[in-house]
Amino acid sequence: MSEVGEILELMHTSDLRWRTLRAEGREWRDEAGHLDAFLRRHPQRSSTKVLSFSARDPGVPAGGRRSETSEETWKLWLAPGKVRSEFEAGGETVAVVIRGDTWWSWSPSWGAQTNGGRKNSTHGTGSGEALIAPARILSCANLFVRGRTTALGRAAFAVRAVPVASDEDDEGPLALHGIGSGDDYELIVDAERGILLRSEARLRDRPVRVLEMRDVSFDEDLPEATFELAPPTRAAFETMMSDRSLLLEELPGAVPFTVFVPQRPSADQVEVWMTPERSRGRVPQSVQIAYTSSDASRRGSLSLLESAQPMPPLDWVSWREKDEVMVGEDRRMDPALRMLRLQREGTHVELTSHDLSFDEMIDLARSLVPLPHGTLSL
Amino acid sequence: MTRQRLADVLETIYESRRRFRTVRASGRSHGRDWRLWWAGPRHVRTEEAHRGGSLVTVRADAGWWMRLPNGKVETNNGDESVQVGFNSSILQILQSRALLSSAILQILGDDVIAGRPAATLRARPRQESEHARWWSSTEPFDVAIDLQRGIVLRGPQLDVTEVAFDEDFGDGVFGPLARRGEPVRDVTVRPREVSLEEARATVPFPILLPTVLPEGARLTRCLISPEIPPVWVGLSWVIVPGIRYFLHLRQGPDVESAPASPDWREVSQGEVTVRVREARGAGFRSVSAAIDRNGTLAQIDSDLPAETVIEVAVSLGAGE
Repeated sequence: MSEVGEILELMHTSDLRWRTLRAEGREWRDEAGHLDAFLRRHPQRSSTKVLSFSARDPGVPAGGRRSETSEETWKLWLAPGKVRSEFEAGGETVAVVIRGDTWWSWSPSWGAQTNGGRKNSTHGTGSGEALIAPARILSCANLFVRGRTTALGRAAFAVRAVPVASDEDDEGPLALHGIGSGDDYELIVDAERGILLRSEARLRDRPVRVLEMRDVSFDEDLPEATFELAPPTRAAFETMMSDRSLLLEELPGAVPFTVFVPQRPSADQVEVWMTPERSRGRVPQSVQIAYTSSDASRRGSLSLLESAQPMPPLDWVSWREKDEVMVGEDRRMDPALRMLRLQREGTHVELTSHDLSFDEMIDLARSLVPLPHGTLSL
Repeated sequence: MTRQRLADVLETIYESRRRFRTVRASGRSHGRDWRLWWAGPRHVRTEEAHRGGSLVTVRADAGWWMRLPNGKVETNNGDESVQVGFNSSILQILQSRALLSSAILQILGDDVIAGRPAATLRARPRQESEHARWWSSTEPFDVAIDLQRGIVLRGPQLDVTEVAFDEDFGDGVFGPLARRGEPVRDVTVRPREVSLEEARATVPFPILLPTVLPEGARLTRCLISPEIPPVWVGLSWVIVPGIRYFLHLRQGPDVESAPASPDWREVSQGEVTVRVREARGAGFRSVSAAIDRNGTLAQIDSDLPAETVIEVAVSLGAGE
């Protein structure tokens, strides 16, 4: 058996090599480098419009610069059919427990939530998860064994992984998503359990994302309380309802506010979603109506977000009044997202578009009419 | 034959693409016979049996040709921005490597399949693997892997019956599919947007128009096919305000009659028969209605309620 064969078997059968696992570690990222690596792995095609955007870290003041590198910690506990994870996201710690199809989570921003066992709602478990699913990369990366090493006091293999050309395997970039984007990866593979003790995604020989364990133990008897989540506030868990896709004709009967639509949108296709109220009203019930054109060469994409409650202020957008409506631009995206807000008969409406001018959007806003109820007449 | 070690079989799968230059294979997937010629991902030919004829698809670098079961030939004329899709249930014989990620393999034994030594394995899909799953099963299944080349010789709904490696294929294998003088539709030539009046003056068949449309219907587009003379005309309406619904009407000699499949039901109103197919899910409704009016075939596709689409279809008449 070759060394590559031994590594393949280790990583492929890793799930069978431990009963329980407890680990903690960190994720380090060079933000600009990682975005650069992602764009190299997913090159823009001439026929495709790419929007790049960055979410604002709440820890960074409006208009402030995000630091060039970031570091977040994570903890994981796994037993058959059960997971607990505590990880940093958006500047706060999220705790989640998953048992079978049901998850419960808690974070200071979102409070205590659960999916109530609905299979169509899943919850992430943080960046450490990718280290315990090493088989994912076997279909889409070629492995080069550098030799034996030790890490965390454990025998291990040092392995370089290089993504295969996408023509060879359509799933390549997706499957590598967990360990980040890079030209290549330096991996430390546990020689007994097959998990990754460390992964370093590299771009032009420089690290852009590091995932590593700082502590790991296997096959402990984890207390049952590990897989129970008690929110610090003792609040009851709110059952998260998923967004629901609807026909436009179903909207008037589905929400308690008047839904407005443009009289003659310039696009010819429409999609509709309803977002239920969440976080005990902190996220109000809303509907989104997205207009797109079936002909990619035509302009006219437009989205409407409507709610009975005011829209959040979005402090990264500078608002100004124009022709009796509020207009602003979200410049975190390229091209910028033009935004327009107004209130009509108790409904708060936000129109957004990447390719319509403010004047075109104002004309569409002036044409807003209540979406008709009831059946259609011929 | 010696029972294989898992590591050796995994390595054979992992190296599979480096273990052959070309593949010629025959087999059966989901009840359909097929043949495959493969000389790298940019030189591929498949032939698969369909009801009414064979579907032949050829890719040679940027260009592709397709002979449809009805005998018509299409091409992208070398324009790589218009790509062709191959039947994934054929090409999956070369995609054994997905098994390394998305399932846990266990050796069952050895076999000889299509004259090739093979390892038979039980594959248990990993729960977290939504991607890279070409077998569309969450239940364990058995696969057979060629012990020298690493390709899949047997899988769910898949049997390879003949396979040969590293042959040199003749030029014709990846060549154009049309015979001399046979018409070929260039799919990169787009339909032409015209006014309804221009369409009436251009197409060599009477244009059927509905006399009944929902309140708020607005004609947004009239397209004619690029052939000379055009073989179809397409009309699109939206129902305002807000694009509550859409309705597309396509008609002409290129429109095929609705297939005799259980998806389609017949609805008769007076002397008029409309064939109707409906699909409904969260956030979508798709209704198709096909009608033959004095030899002109027309098909409506819409998200209007089926009874409304049927009324529109029944009202179709020429010369309005």
